[in-house]
Amino acid sequence: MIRISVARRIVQIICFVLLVYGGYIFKDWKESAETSQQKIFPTLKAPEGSVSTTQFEKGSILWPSGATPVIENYPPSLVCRFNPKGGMFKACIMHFLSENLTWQTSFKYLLPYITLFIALCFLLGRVWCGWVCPIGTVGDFLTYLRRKMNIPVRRFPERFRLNLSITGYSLMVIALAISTVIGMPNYARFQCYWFLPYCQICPARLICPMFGLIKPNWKDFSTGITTCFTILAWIVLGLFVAAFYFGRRVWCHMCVVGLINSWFNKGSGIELHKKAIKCIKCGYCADACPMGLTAMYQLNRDAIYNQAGCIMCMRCVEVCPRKGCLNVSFFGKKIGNMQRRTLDAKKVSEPVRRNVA
Amino acid sequence: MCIPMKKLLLIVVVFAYVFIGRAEQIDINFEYPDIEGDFYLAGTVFFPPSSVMSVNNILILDTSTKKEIASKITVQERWPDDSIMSVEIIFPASSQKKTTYTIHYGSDIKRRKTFSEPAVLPTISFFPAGAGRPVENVDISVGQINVRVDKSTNIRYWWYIVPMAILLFLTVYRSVRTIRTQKL
Amino acid sequence: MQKKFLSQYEEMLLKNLKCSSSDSDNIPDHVLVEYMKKSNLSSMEGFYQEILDFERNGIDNSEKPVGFFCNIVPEEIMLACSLRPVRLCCEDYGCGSKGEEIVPGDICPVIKSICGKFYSNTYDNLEVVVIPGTCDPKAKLAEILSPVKQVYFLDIGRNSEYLGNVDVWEKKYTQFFQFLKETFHCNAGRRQLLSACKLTNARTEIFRSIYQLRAEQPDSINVFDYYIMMYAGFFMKVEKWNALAGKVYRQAKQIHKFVDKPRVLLAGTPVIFPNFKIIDVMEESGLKMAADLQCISFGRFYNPVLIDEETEAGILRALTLKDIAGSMCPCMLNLEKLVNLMIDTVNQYKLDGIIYYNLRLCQVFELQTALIRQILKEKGIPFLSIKTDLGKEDTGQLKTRMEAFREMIESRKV
Repeated sequence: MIRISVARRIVQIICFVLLVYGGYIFKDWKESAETSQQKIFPTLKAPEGSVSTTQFEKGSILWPSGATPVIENYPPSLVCRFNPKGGMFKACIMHFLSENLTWQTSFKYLLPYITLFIALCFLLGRVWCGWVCPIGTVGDFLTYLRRKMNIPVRRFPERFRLNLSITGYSLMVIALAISTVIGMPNYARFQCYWFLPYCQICPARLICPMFGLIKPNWKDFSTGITTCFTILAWIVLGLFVAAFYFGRRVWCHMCVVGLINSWFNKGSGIELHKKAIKCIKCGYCADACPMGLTAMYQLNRDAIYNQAGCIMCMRCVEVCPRKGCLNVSFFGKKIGNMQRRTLDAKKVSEPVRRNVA
Repeated sequence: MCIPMKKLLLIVVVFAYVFIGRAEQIDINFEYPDIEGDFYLAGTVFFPPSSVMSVNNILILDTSTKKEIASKITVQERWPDDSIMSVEIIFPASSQKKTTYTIHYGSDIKRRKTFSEPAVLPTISFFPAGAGRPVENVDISVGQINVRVDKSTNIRYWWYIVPMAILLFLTVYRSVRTIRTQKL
Repeated sequence: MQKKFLSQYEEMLLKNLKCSSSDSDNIPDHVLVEYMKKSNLSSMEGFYQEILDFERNGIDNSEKPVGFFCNIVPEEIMLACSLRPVRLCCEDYGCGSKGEEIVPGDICPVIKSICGKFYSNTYDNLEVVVIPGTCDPKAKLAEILSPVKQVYFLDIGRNSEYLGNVDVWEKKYTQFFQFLKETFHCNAGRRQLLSACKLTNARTEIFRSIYQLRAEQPDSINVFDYYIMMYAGFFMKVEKWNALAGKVYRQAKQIHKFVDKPRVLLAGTPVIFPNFKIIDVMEESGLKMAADLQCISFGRFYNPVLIDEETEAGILRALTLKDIAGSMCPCMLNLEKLVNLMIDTVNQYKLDGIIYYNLRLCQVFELQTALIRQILKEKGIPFLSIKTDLGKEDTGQLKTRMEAFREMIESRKV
């Protein structure tokens, strides 16, 4: 059986290629899918005359280039609208929410999309973060570079990680509030600067187009607000690179899409089980966790250890030196043997069975 | 490390606060007509309450050159606090230049150029950016109150609420179960 | 770099402290030959030959041998510096009585033996001795040996909780690595550490296979051969040990011997050659040692180094986790996981009981006996605690107790 971290790298690279270059690869299919999906999913359009369709041209910081066809769906990982030609899918859930709050789209049109999103989250939880998210893949590549350069990882205290998620939630609330306010008729004039406020500072807006062979809008100094957003975006990008370069997945504590995914993590189909009697408290699982979670190490009881912060990379399961201590199951069905092949204990041979009986 | 993040958040909030108070532009949308030469652009612009007190606080700018265009502004309606609710703006434009125009307003703005209609020219109407008008909805603006009439008959999307509710229930149920095993 | 302890009084101490040295210092060949005859595997000869060579010629100094005690001292770091780690833990009755000239008689027998060996110049070829601060006698040993040898004292916290101490351990290991690099002028780094870890992981793999095989069929490799292999692992080169142990495993796998005797788990103080009294008695009284939880075998070889961060600091951290956090040493606060491990091993391999072996005067092993007995009594697992020392006087008494234990197990089975 293939090692789980190798499998994860392969899945990550495949998903990265699909989500960032898929538009180039499946160009025709994308266009045909766009027309056929309208039977199930309603088309979400900006209201006529709205700033968000007319205002943003190629030079603008918020040029979403709506003309290129995409499959108008919103998987629970950070696929980006600002990578229009390469992107297969439309955008992330944060983009979806802020856009439609501004357009004041009727809730019934959002229902199919939200249902699909919840279904995907329910099936896999934050596997989307650990295995699919293209931004996470880029970050893991930065981590790989750091390891090659022999720079030790920075470990952050639990308090800091808590503060990061609080920051993420505040950003989410502020962004959605702004999106709602500028959707009101009397404040429509603000749309030209405050449309998609979270996207404007999100590092994915700069990174996804960069990999998707499109020149991202690095700067827009035409007015005060755009200048501020440009500078903020640069700061956040710097923080993103620093977080992934010096830490491991520190950023993912703050990522808004990840936070939304984390609501479904505890109830998701993928479950992590621990058998306490097998644990020898070596601490490999706590040390290997890219999110720095320690609950699985600390608690001494048989339980399902799905936590909000867990990105389901299964690294803990892989590094556990005791066979059968940590297990992964999908809706109660145990998924194979995920530990290192070389350290597996072999099956009990015939004479012993007799002895036992 | 905790302090810089808090500061960053503070900066974001401060920026947001400052710039909500300062935004004072409306873009003008129109299509250039087939006629050659000059024409008038005319349209009605609404303003939020207590943002503009006088017609002299409104001006038209050429977006590319940032120069003021002479305009004729007449007040149509006022808010209860005597600030301007809507005005009718007329100003000259040219098919040769093909520029775009922006309306600036606010207490800091002072209009310098006025004009009265001297010649008979074709008039093209414009509409200010941001006035939402969805396809399937009709927005009837009666001043402060907005009434939206939904003309669409498509209600099948509401059926999605059933699988969504089931999924949400399952998620909550399984979450509670997970938490219970951890807290046992 | 760590300074020498007692450097002011070194000459004074060396003048008066000395053990009588004689030709019969080493373990006589006939003891080894006796066990060799019991072996049913031809491939075991390599190990016996290695031990004979070691006992006759002492440590070969061609490869900068470094002495160490306990699993807490990371072998991989020494291997990375291209040194030859030699584990010095010793339970020799002869050396023990010699050591009493230096240290009092009623202390840890391992310390007595070690003192005897060092003060009779048996370990002259060693460059450095690394002594960990695990238990109290070991900590004092650093000062006792300081006049004779260059000593490196590896101090660690006693709380084996990952969260509290892992940073401290990582720092200590880094200092140790630095010390070795400076002392031996070698330029070791990430790559050398990685290849050393690969070596020990290969050893872990072979050991796990052997452990598994013995747990299922205790007679495939008999218990003396097993402990001889563990003892040979003290001073043999890792590659050589791996090759020989692999050969033994492949030969033993062919043997299918059905054993109808009670199989037990042996836990507690390590059984180090030539002190095979306890396993001798066990064999004689019809108990089969199927698995063990001792620090020279299970504790040393069972856990692999699983490197998450392939940086120098990351590897050192993984080593601390393997050696300290995952350790079963009773010096640490880890009784819970030791009991867990006992119960789990018994359940997994369907063993019949646990024998807990205390070497007299080792306090830490003795202190936890009562707690373990209580828990295992509740769990319904037969448990026998045995307290003895290096002498052979109490063999008969031990045998009676073991036989009673065997009868108890057999009556339970019926």
